[in-house]
Parts: sequence; C-alpha cells; structure tokens
Amino acid sequence: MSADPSPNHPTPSGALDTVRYDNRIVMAFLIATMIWGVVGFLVGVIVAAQLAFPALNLDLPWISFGRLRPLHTNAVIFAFAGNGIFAGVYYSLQRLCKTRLFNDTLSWVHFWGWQLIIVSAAITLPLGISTSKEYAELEWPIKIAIAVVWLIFATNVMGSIAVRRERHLYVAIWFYVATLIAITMLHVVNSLGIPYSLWHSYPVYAGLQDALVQWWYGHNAVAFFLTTPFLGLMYYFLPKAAEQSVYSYRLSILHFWSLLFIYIWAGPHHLLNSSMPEWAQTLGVVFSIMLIAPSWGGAINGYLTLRGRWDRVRTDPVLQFYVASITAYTMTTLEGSLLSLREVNALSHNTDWTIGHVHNGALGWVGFLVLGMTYWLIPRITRTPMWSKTLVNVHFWLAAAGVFIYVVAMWVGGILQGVMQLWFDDQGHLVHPDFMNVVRASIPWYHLRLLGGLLYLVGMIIGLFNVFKTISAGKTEDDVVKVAPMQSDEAFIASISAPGAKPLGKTAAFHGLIERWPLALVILSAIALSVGSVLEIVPSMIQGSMTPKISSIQPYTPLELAGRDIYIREGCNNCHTQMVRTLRAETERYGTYTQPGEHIYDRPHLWGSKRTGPDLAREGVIRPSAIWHYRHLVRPRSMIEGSIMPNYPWLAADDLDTSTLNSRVQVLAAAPLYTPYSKEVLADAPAVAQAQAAVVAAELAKDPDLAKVPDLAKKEITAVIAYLQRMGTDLGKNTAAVERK
Amino acid sequence: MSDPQHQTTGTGPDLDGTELHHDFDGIRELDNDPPLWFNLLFWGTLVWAIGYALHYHWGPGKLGGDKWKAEMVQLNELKAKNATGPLTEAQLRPLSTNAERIAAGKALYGKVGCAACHGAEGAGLIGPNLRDKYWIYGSNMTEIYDVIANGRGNGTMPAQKNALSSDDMNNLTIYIISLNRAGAIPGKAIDPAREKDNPVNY
Repeated sequence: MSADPSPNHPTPSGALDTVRYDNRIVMAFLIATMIWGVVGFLVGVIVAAQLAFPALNLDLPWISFGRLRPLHTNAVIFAFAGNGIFAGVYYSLQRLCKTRLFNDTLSWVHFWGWQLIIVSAAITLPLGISTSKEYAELEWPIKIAIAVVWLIFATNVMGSIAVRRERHLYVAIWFYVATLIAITMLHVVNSLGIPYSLWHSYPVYAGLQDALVQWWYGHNAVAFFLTTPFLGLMYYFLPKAAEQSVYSYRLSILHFWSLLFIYIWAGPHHLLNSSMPEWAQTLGVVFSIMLIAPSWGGAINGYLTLRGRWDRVRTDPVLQFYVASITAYTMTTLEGSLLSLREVNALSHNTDWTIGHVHNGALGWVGFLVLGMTYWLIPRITRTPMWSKTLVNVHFWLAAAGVFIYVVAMWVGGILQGVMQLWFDDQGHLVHPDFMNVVRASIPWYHLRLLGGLLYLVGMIIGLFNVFKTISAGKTEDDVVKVAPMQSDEAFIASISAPGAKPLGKTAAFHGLIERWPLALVILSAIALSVGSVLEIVPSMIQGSMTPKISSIQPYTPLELAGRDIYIREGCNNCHTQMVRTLRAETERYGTYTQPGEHIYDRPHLWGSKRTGPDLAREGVIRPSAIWHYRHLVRPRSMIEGSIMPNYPWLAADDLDTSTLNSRVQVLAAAPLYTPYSKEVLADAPAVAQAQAAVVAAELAKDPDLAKVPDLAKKEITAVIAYLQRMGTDLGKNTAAVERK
Repeated sequence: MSDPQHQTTGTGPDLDGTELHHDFDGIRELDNDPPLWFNLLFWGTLVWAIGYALHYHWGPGKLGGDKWKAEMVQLNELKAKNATGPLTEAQLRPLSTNAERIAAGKALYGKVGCAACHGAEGAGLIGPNLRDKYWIYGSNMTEIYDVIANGRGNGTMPAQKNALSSDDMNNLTIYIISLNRAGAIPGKAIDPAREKDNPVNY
C-alpha cells in the first residue's frame, strides 16, 4: 500500500499500482453539505419563529408553517446529512478499498442528481405538493428520482468494493453496505402508491397499515440514514483524527449485527397507546429497550478509541466536535429507548419532547460528526490549513450552546405539555380542558428554542465562510498513491501461517470470512434487516387481521376527499394529530378512542405525530359548526385568543379545483385500492361534490356576514369544512345503530 | 500532510488488547473484550424484554383498552363521589353573591376558554355579550347552566359537561351572573333577531 507498509502486512513482491483518489467529488459533496446545512437550518429557524410569532406566516400559502416544516426536515436530513454521508463515504471508501471510486461518471451523476432532487424538494414542498408522510413527503416523480440516484450511489460503492485492493472490508464499510440495503428497502416499500396526476398520488396502504409502514420507514430512516452511515464515518474519521487504534474489534462485530437485527423492529414505538394490536406495540417497546446496548456499543468504541488522546481533545476542535457528537449519540439513543416505554410515551408522545430528542440526534450526533469531518477533510484536500482556527472554535461553541439551549427548551416545554394534557384534579376532571392553556405554556419555550436554533445557524454560516476562504486559498487535487494489488488468498494464508506470524484470533478467524466476501455481507445484512420487517408488516397486509371491520365506516365523499387533499397540501398534519389514544385524559378531552377500523379509507393515514394544536380525530363530533370553522380557518385568532395557527385566507378566496376529482375517485375505486364508491360518484365526482358544497354553503350563509360572500359553494374552504365535519363521526353512527337494536 | 494515509494509528499508553493482523488505511484495531457492564446491559435488556412480554401478555399486566377501562372505572367513581348534582333555581340564586364561588368561577372562565369567544371581560367577541340585559337562551341560572353543560349552536359553543364537574359549572354560572350585575361595558352589539330583553333581576 505504501512505501512503509504496516509491520504486520507482508511486503508485496509484485509491482505497485498507482491510484488517484478522487478528492474533487468529496469536495463537491462537502461544499453541498455546508450550503444545504445553512439553508436547512435557516428554514428551521423560520418555522421556529413562526410558532413563537404566528404573524410571520405572512398569510402567504408557500411560506406557511405546514408547508415549510417538511422542507426543513427534508433539507436537514437529505441535503445536509445526505451530502455529508456521500462526502465521507466517498473519501473513506477509496482509501479503505485502495481504489479510485468505481466510476467517475456515476460519481458526478450521483452528485448532480442528488442536488437536483433537493432543489425539486425546495420547489414542490412550498407549493404544497406533499404526500404528508413524514420524511417521505416528496411526491412520486421525485421519489422515483431518489431511487435511481440512490441505486447509482449503491452501484458506485459496491463497484468500488468489487475492484478493491484490500482483501478485508473494514467495519466502516459494513455500516455503509447495511445503509445501502436498508434505505433501498425502506424507500421502495414506503413509497408504493398510485399516481392520479403528474404530481399527486395515493399510497397503496391505508389507515393502520399505512401508519405501520410509515413508522417502520420513519424510524428506520433515522436508523439507517442518520445512524449507521454515521457510525461507519465515525469508525474511519475518529481513529484517523485521534491517531489512535480502534478499541475493540469484537465489540464492532457485536454491535453491528445486533444493531441491524434489532433496530428494524422498533418502528411500532411510534404508535404506542394507539389501538394498534398490543403484540405489535409490545414488539416496539421491547426491541427499543434491547437497542440500548447495541447503540451504545458504537459509543463505547468511540470514547475508548480516544483513550490516551484526551489531552488532544482540549486543543483540537475536530476532536471536540467528535466528542460532542458521540455524547449526543449516547444521550439520544438512551432517551429514544426510554421514550419507547408505554408509560413514558403516554406523556412524551405528540409533545415537543420528541422534537428535542430528534434535534439532539440531528444537530448533535449527525451535525457535529459532519462538521468535525469537514474541518478534518478540508485542510487535507486543499493542502492548506483552515483559514481561521479561531472561527472553527467559535463555530464549535456556538453550535454546542445552540444544541444545549434548543434541547433543554424542548425537554422542559415538552414535559410541561405532556403533564398539562394528562393532569386530572382530585375530583376527576381535567385541570386543563382547554388546549389553549397548553399552547400558552409552550410559548416561552418556543422563544428559547428559537435562540438555540439561531446560534446553531450563525455557527454554520461562520463555518461556511471559513470553508470557502480555505478552499480559495488552497488547491483541491486528487491524492496519488502507490498501492499493492489485492493479496491473493494463498498469500494471505501464507502470511498468517508463516512462522512467527501473529495468530489470527478466534473472532477474526470467524468473522474474517464475511469481511473477505462482500456478497456474504450483503446477504447476511439483508437477512438481519428482513426478519423484523417481514414479521411486523406482513400481518397487517392480511385482510382484517389487525383492523376489525366497522359496518358504519364509509369512504369519503368527493368533496370531503378534496378537502382532505387540501388538508394534506397545507400540512395540517404537522400540528394536528388524528389519533385519540387509549388514555383516559384523551377520551375525556376528545371522545372515544380511535379504532383502526375507522381509518380503512384513509389514504394516506393522517394520524400525525405532533400536537402543536389539539387532536382532530373527533372534530366532526366535537365541533360540527361550519360557521365556526370558516371564521377560524380564515383568521384563527378571531375565534381563539392567543392561537398560533397560521391564517388561511386563500382557502376562502380560491376556487376548488375539481379537474382531477374524477381520476382521484377512479384510482381509489380501482384495483388494488378497491374503495367502494357508488356508480354515481364514479360517473361524475365533481357534480356530487358540488351538490354537497351547496349544502355546506347554505349552512355558512346562516351567518349574516358570510351570507354576503359570493360563490361560497365554489371555494376550497367548503371542501375543507366538509372534511372537518366528517372527522370521527362515522363511529357514532355505528353506536347509534347498535343502541337502536 | 500530503499523504496522511501512510500514517498508522498509534497505540497509546494503556494499550492492552491484542492487535489485529492487518490495518486499514493505517487504522489498526484492537481486540479488547467489551466492558463487563456492556455485556450485562446487553443480556439484561433481553431478559427484561422477556419479562415485560410475559407480564403484560401472559401475566396480570393490563394494556391498552383493558387498562383504559380500569382507569375509567376509577375516574368515574371519583367523579361520582364529588358530584353535587345540578341545583335548582331556588338553590342557586342565594349562592350568586358568594364571593368564594365567584372567584372560583372566574378562574374557570379563563381555564376552559370562555374568554376566547365571550371576551376576557364578558363583553362578547364572536360569542354574545354576557354583560347586557339581552339573552338568547334565557337569564335564569338553570338556563345559563344548561348552555354551559350542553353547549349551543351545533358545537360552536362547546359542551363542558365532560370537562367540568357540576359544581364547577355552578360556579361558572355564578361568575357570569356576577359579571352581568357589574353592569354593561362597551362590547358586542345586540343581535335583535336572536337576543331577547331579559334582564337578570334577582
């Protein structure tokens, strides 16, 4: 491999190959991660500010909270973290495999394809083109593009492994390979849907099943997009920066395989205390708790790799970023498991505690690792020291203070929200029956969170500036090295059995087989990832096994369907859940708890995961008044003092677009979705919708002010109101029928 | 700097593990045993998981709907124990000047969100003005109580009977009467089509 091969490596007898490591592609991804990081955090600061000061929604559709929040999450996950992964993987993979990347064209198609996807997300999400499924909001044309670009990345990685000159695959590569397999599987399965227009589609899953698939995806996107690739990067960049050997190889093996096998099961912990079958919830709980040790295995190897190097941590900002990153990882993984206990989850779920948890992971673990890696790579690739070391230190402390303030604010605010919602007085009544009390109590913590986010953003802008200064001062060139061709099996065996050679050791003798044989790694990883997936998802596909049928549940009328699609377009599900959990505080506040059978026509499900506002599952029962909804949607603060919901004046101004309504009901009615729509609906859905709109408009016109509004029946708001009036009402029709008998 | 991959990682002062046979781009791995506490944690959570599943699925532990039912029985007992039952007009009127009950009602007025529609001072916003002598559903205390308990206008005014005890609703009624007695202040105009002249004259 070099002029000075490691002492244990047999000196190659043959000629050395000249390899040119591609540093330009790494640099391109690094610059992308820094720029998109600034964009993603900026949008995060904007949405945080909108919660604290709702006037900042500016009454503009494309800047309102519900549309911007998915842009923030997608930008941070797929643009900031994603480009960071690609930069780190491409840098380390070349050196770990002692080869240039498999194909330069693939590298650059990957790079520009991914940036194009991010740009298309930044355009479509503010336009309201969204599937509503968290972290999978992008619509079908973009999802196909993601799959294609991801497979190009996978081809490039696997191709590089195939042409490698290093016999064994290092632990970092195991994590990369697992990431490739898992993300491909998750993205494809969760994205299955049927388009009804160029930019819109309905998922093949409905209700509980859609929720289960979505959270299998959502949870494991965190696992295999924000955890495993970064563990791989940690295993390369941490020992490199610390110049210290990895603490325990057998721990790497143990935590790699157990993490893969156990992580994939834990998705149902996103649906605890729901009416999902208890066995599925219990799987979510126990696998989350069993995940503590496998997660911490990586943290231990990280911390102990720094042994004897802590003096350097005091002076080296790169190591400071890594230590902060591993600390955030240690905290977040334990916290995540504890939040998965039914009792803790009853309090934490739907509150800002979860938001604090994920930001500790995204800004702390992922963010700090990407930044440490960037500050280590930039001087090496440009062959120039960082333009300002002081600014690197400033960046670290701003980011650390930012994460700390942010997470503490969300912990306190979230726990407060949870307690207030669950609290009963000694006479058996809710202490805070009015949800507005919860909102009011949250506001000071929203201010503090805004400060935390702002500090992190400022640090990032300083970092971007420092990186650009360094790049322009230096020169980005490929590294040219001389490496030996791959050792043959015979040579390897000879080297370990030579007299005086070190013994291989039991662990290495066994696991080394997998490390020498990439196909085995691929197959075994796929098996480890499939067991939990199949056992949890397949039962929900067997008709009726998890969702007992309720006779009174009917499909949405065309008008309600149109209203529901507007609800999705505006991202209402980002702040309102539609899931009354099996908790007395929830049934007292909202009514009967949600039955899975109620949602068999919900494509997609809109159960949500965050209550910035109240649950809406029984809105049609609790608040059926059309007039109230009209006034509230147009100006929430005219009805509820102190509400932080954006105004939606455009719903009252814009005409409802029914041009695709026929294709929507036809897609829903056809195979494989089989929604039982009547012939009348299928023949002319817009006409059926208009008839219902006239009824809603007549109800609205009872209000003397609204009676003066022209064309009420044609407006989008009528469809939204029809949907709101329908929510949760079908179940009551069933009870009434039973009682009459 | 120019060829960082030629460096191998160090050994450190307290290197105790066996070193593996080869290195990767200079990164060496040791083969230390994981710490004992890690092994205990690993296997301990597995044992806990089995215990948890046994307790809740084959043992006495209650989950989901069953747990909810048991909790609701307790909650309803608690409510029944503290319920005073609705009072008659004759019982309510003497209480309408009780300062303690007015204060309790005032706190509830803020807590359940009455102010959102009727204004902080009761002078009306989207909801009717409570401080003039015009009433839609009557000005008797039992009539006001009924509006609070069951709501009006198809949920525009939400029912409070699930959220509040009957005594809470008595106190809220008493506070509204006290607001009305404090006299009219500038606020929402009368809706002559719905509101009838019906002063609180007791």
